[in-house]
Amino acid sequence: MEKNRFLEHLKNYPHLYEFEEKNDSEYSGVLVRDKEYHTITFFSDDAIKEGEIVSLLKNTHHGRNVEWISRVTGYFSKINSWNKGKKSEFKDRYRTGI
Amino acid sequence: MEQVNMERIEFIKKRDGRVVPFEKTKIADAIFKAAKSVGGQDRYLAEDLAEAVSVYLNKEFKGKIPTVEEIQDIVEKVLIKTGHAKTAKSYILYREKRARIRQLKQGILDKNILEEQEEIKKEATDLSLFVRTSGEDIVLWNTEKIVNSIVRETGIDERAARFIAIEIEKEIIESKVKNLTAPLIRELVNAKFIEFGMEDARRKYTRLGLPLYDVKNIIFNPNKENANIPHNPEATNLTLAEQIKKEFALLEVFSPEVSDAHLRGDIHLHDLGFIDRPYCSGQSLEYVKKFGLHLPNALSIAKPAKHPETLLAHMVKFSAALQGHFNGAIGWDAVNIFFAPFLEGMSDSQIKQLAQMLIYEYSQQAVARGGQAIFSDINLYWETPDHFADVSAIGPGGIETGKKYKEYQGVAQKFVRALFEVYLEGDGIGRPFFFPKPLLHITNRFFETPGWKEFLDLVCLVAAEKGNPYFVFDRDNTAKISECCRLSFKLEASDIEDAKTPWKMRFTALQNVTLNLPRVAYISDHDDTKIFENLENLMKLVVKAHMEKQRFIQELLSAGQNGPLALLTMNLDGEPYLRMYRVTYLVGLLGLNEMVQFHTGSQLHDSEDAFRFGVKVISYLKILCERYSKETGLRFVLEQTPAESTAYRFARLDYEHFTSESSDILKGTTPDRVYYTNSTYLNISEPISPIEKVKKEGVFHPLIEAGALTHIWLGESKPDSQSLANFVVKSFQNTKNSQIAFSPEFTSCLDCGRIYRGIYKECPWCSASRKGVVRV
Repeated sequence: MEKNRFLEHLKNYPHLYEFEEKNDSEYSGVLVRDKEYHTITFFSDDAIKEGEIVSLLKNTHHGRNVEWISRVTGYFSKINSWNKGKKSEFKDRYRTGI
Repeated sequence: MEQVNMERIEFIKKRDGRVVPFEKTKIADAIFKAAKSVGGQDRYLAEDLAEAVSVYLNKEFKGKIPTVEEIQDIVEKVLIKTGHAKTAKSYILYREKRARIRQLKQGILDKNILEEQEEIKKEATDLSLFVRTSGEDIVLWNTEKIVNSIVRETGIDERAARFIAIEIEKEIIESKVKNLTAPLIRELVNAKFIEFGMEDARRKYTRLGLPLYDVKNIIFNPNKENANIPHNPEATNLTLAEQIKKEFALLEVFSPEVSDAHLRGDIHLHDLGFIDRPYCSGQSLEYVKKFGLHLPNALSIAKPAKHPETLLAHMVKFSAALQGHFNGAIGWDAVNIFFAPFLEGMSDSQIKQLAQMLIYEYSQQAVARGGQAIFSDINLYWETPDHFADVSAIGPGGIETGKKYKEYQGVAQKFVRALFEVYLEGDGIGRPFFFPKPLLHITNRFFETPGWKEFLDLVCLVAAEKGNPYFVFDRDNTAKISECCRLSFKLEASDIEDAKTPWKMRFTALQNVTLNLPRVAYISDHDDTKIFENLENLMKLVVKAHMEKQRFIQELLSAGQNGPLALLTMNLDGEPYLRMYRVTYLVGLLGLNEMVQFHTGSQLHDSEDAFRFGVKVISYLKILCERYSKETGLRFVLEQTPAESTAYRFARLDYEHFTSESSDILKGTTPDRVYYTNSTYLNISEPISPIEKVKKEGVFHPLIEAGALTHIWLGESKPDSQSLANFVVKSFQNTKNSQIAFSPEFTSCLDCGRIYRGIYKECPWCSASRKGVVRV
């Protein structure tokens, strides 16, 4: 796709993205900050030229949609549902092999 | 002007006849109060007026003792004569009001009041005052309805109730409130009860419910108290109901002493939102096999199953029914052994298919109560434990097959192997199954039963890969059924007797009450004698709490088949399903490590002395349990409370109320990410070798009859199954530890569906750089 259309799209969603054009001799492209997932992703001009808007922008958040799983006290469960104390304990756990 | 030598008033006579010293300041206070209500601000003026009153009194009574009424008359006179008419009016009104309240308390209403109230009543009717009721209706204001409800709910005299109803009617008319609702009227009545000092009536007239703001929060935001509760309409129903039942429990089921101890955080009464159910249940499949599904008030009755799939369906449905009647886990004893008579002649792949059905049925039951899965446990054996070996087997149709269970060992082993193969595969995308939790029992006979090595290897592979199994050690002649996070029922002689008729084997803990051990240390201030005294006092409170819950459940049960616990009173084998004389009462432990740390200055792992002190505390609690069991006839046993929310709640409350004592003791980060170490565990962050941990924590286990467990947190490491198997055998042989579990952790990517071992902020696959695109 054309770079302009890519920039236009980013401009249309200011609550989701901030961006900055980079035009070094070495790196020419766009630096995109994804406000929802708190990532910064660099897209080279070539990648923009070859990509489609949806598949390109997936790269700002793809892989952030993860669930952590461990044993809370007896049963396994998703850690994002634990209370703050248990999350704190999870951080502190001494992990070891056998 | 010089005062003439006059005899001063020294005493006054109160309404109840008592003679008390005369205090001029009290008169000043009353005058100032009356003055303030009409905008007065001059306290000195009030004092001067009080002085005038006392001069007047001295003159009038000349050393005699005036009554309160007489003094008040003089105050009125003085106020009027000195030109403070407004203050005088306020004072008179106040006197009248107090007089009415006194009459109200005595149930006397004079004619004037009744006439006045008649007028107000008319006024209300003229205004067409409407009330939005909780019965979804808008009705015309009706004082009598309020009177009736006050009388019905509080038992106070009808005339007093009418007086209050008309009082609030007056206020409502004056305030011109537009949206009059039943809850608002109730609160206004309660405000009157407070004003008139009718505390008992106020308590009885309480409305339970939630603020609008909270309800909105509950509907919109997930519940973080319990990791097993999803966020959906069923789940929020559960949360809302729990809130109300919790308030009900604290107000109505438990005495103020017990409720306050809970609210302060000295103890934790678990699952108050489920006050009208026992805590948890462990049972055998034999009940379902023998009687089919014959539940009270059911829409249909199923005869005993003839096919394994039907038996499975009965088992799962009965689990769901039980979950509706217990608040905790539903555990099933010796599942592979009791299934065996149904599996004869089935091929390996058919057995595997059934194993898969069983695990998926439980793990996907997230549509049951409150959108939760069923907290389910299956107890499994490789060997046939002694207490089941010679029991007559029940087969299809609920009929005895003529064989003993030991004769089914081969097929029982096929089934248990198939179950662990399914656990090894994990769910559709390879994640560990959350439910049902498999508990592998190991008795001495395990090691005499051919094939144990190969089988243990399989179970350990599951433990290494997915973490599911608990290893339950039933050394020598102990026999247990386990469930929940670690709860187990040690089988007594009478239970072993039950094993001959295994459908009778059902075990219930009625309630769990956990002790805040660190707080006991804080209030004992490093004094050895005090700490044991305080433990004893706390235990007495726990006993009281258990007796109160016992009474309440007993009352519900006594309604029998027409009551809310009909299921638990069903009587298919000569006894009600819930046998109250057999239930246990759990005494939960929390934060032994922090208790010892505060008291001795070292944590459990830090010094031998600290550790010994910890053992002394738990031994003492065990002795107390035994003593109180004897005294009350209720069976109290210690348990390592899972304490998913309690470890956090106690820590938070202690940080708030025992800030200076707790701040160096609490684990985690203050102010709100704090926690206490669970039960009798060693500090969770200490790099203690696994075998050392199993040994040390195991010292406590024989003292904690209702279940203890040691966790080995594997993190992202994946030990080979052989080393795990060796570890398990060593733990059985060389320690007193009663249960261990290995826990890996996983990252599951919802974008690509991949599962990674260990914790990643981003899916390693998805966030990998593509050509020309780099995540910075």
